[in-house]
Amino acid sequence: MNEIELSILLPAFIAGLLVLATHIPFGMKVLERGVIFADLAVAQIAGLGVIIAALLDLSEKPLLVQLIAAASALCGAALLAWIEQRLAEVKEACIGLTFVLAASGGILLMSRDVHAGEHLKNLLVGQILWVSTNQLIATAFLTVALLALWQWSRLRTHYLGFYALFALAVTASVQLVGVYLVFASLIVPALATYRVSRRRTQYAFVIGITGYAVGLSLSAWFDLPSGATVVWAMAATGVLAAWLLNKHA
Amino acid sequence: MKEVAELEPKPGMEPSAAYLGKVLKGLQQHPARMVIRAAYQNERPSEWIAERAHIPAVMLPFTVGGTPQATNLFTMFDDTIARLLAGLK
Repeated sequence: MNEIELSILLPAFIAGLLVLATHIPFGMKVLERGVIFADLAVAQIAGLGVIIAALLDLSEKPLLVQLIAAASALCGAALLAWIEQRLAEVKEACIGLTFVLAASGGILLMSRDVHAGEHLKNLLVGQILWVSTNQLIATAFLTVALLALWQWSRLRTHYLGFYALFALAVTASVQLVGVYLVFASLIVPALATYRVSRRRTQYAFVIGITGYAVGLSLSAWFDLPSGATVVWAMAATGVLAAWLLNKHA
Repeated sequence: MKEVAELEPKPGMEPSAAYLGKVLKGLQQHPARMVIRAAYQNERPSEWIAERAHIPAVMLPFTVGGTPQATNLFTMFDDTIARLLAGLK
């Protein structure tokens, strides 16, 4: 790996670390509550907000676009909290339905927009290499704020509070690394350490960080698309770690 | 006008870090004047390369309606030329 490649991969790796910082504790909670697809639903609703902002010709005002995305994600969070409270026995079905409605709603809205397909694809894959310094700084501040709230407030035990923090984290991370990587960062470390009771968080971080490091290196050495490579590298790391951890348990 | 490099060699497919490294290295040896994208394309790749290679990112209407100024074929070419010239400054 030469110096130029390193200068390309380093910001992507930092983006990965920022995403992991919030998504590993969130992922464990999501797994525990059995709302795995909540992140896809929230991400899609935030994406819907970005599309609406683009339709309103606000692309020139990035801050306003972010506010609209965050506001729509928070509305989505309120809906999910309501679903979990009132429709607990069928929550996974309702969350899945919310995802499909938000995704197809996006297609309906974008049928009027020139940027249609590009926007939709950018939401899903292929963004981790394009992170800019400003984006990293903004996300770092948000990450610190969210982690502080998570650690020192009672929000995480509250229905709406949990989904609100979760929605804000996902809104930022989806735009940073795409839906596929957000899902992998949320689920793989939490799932691989599911049976671990001691030092679970540390193991989860080792898995996540190894996934990003190995995936980004492989993408540079073998000339592969980075986002997809990291997803597979993280899954492989997770399987290996789960096997090792169970063997020693 | 001469093409120095292409950011997405496979349209719609995210380029690899290895390929982007080659592009950046190439730009150090043969600096480009600007990076061009069509109005319908995502701005992040061209802004990424603009930030790293210190060249302006220029968006062109590509078709009538691509930018607010490009209302017919004539204004589309006017706007395209105006944007290219602005990028040269």
